[in-house]
Amino acid sequence: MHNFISFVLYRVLYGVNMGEEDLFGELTDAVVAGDKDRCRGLAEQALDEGVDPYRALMEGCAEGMNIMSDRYDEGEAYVPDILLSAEALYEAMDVLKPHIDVEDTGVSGKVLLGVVEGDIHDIGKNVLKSIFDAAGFDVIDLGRDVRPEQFQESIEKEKPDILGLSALMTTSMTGMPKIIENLQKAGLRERVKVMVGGAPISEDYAEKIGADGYAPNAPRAKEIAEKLLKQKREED
Amino acid sequence: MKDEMTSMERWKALLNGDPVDRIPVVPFASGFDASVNGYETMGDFFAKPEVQVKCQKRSREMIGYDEPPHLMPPGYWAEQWGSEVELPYRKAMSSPSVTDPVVKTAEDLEELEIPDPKETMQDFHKMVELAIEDDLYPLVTIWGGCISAVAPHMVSIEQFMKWLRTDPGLCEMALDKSAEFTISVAEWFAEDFGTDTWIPWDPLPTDANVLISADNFGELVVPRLKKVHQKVLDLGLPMWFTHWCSDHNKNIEAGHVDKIPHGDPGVIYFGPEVDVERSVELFGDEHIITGNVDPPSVQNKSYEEVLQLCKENIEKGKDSPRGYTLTCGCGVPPRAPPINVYAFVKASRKYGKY
Ligand code: B12
Repeated sequence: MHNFISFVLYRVLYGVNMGEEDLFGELTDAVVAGDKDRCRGLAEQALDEGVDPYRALMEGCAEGMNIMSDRYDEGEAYVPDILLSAEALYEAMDVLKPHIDVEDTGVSGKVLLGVVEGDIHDIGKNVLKSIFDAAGFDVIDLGRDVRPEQFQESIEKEKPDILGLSALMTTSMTGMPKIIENLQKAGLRERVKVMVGGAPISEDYAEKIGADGYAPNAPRAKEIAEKLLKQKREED
Repeated sequence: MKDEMTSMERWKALLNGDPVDRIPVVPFASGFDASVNGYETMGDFFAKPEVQVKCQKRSREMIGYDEPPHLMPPGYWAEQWGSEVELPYRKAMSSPSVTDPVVKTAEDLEELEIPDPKETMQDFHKMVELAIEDDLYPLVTIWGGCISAVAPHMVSIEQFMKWLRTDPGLCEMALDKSAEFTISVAEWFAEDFGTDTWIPWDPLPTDANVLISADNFGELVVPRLKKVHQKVLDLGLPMWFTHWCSDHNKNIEAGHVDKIPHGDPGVIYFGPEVDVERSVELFGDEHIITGNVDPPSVQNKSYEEVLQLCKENIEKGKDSPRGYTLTCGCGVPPRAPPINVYAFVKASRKYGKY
């Protein structure tokens, strides 16, 4: 009863369109369930009904991805679940993205992601990519086992705001400071915020090698990326 | 400080349940061994049987640890299926890497034939032979019936993980094929080399609970891994040396690890995710336990610090009823300072005497 009253009050006060909220909720559920057909159907429905595609993505799909990455972090969901959710997310994005006006997104940050040379562990990086995609970043994924020169070339070409480096091994993590050094030498370091992560990386290590941010998991990585982007915008 | 036993005497005594003079040091140092032998990359180490055996033998002699050569076939249990493998000829690489798994679709998997070991494993056979001829009592990778031998060796991890939810029957098929293949390799080796000259070894990283649930492991992997382990023990091999790599805590809690035959005793080898104290408590009465000094420390910390970490590890494991070895997580980082690996031997001499 109490819930019902607050619900009516909410609608009276904020005039929320219930259809929209329901649709967002269903999109969230479909992403959580990793149901790509339902995601596509709901995204098409959103367009048909004239719902703002950006809100459908953020309040519907992205929320589902956030729930999944929290669940993974708490040991309640596993990699198969996350991969299917990401697949469902991309299905909806496919439908919605062409209709989103970049100006509406408010984020408009570009992230370049890659796993450093010698390291083929890319599951974590892929999880990160889907969370960043869902959060509205423009993500460029260089994949795994990426040579330092490739990072540099892409930074020159794509001019990302943030560079996200992933390493899962003690052997490959030593490639991170080399990449940062190269950027310094090439005069590119000031142009990009560098985030690092992966199992053997720590806050201390990130600081030691002169990175701007570190996160132990995807939810935290999103927060840090948003913070770094804000900083960068203020500096620019 | 004079040792009473040679490395080989100590290793064999450990496995036989006989007394040892001090804690055996089994660091899992293969890539590191290539590096201290002067190899710029790890390519030849993984490509050439004689190099893989020689490097491990010499490095053991130099540093004084007790691990026998620990052997992996050049095709990495992947080329044998038709997958593409890049050998680590680039300096940044620390192990072979599967670049293109052969199975992309359900049909690919259905049609995939079990390789004939005698056609696809000759180089591995030669490697094992070299080690046995030299009386090195090697650890030989016998890998099948688990996700780790299938993904990415036969099918990509992403595909396998999705099938776990959408079509688990395909996962079962892949696991069954890998079980059949590995059993046939073990049978061939047992026939040619006997069963008291080598020890089967298998690592389980992609079976860990950082990737899959204990339920999935229990339903899909346990029956097959159990079959592989049991068949190999039935051939007459004395035990398994199994690396429960990464976080298997939920598999432990669910009782799955208990269900896999390791021999009496076998060697249960957890990474730093499972504390030695806990391994001893859970499995010490039945199996030999390994220590797990964490690899990043061995790469980055000072000799004194590594010595201290080894000491702490030894204190936790030394009195485990069936024996204990001092080990470095999932293996020594290939470019760790050699003196830090020597710290393991030093710690055993200083703190690990029985
Ligand atoms: C799966 C796995 C594999 C798979 C990888 C498949 C793939 N496509 O990724 C396979 C079987 C191929 C593999 C191979 C090897 N592996 Co492996 N592997 C693992 C394992 C079990 C899980 C990694 C994983 O996917 N986790 C799940 C994801 C979701 O988590 P994550 O990667 O940590 O990512 C999260 C965070 O770290 C963070 N994050 C990640 N990147 C970034 C980047 C940024 C910018 C930010 C902000 C955050 C961030 O957010 C992510 C999402 O939450 C780990 C164990 C572990 N504890 O990590 C070992 C592990 C990484 N592997 C290890 C080793 C040694 C190897 C091999 C050398 C083994 C061998 N001898 O063959 C090879 C090397 C291959 C190579 N050249 O890279 C060791 C590394 C030891 C070390 N410290 O050096 C580990 C730690 C196992 C261990 N306990 O020792 N492995």
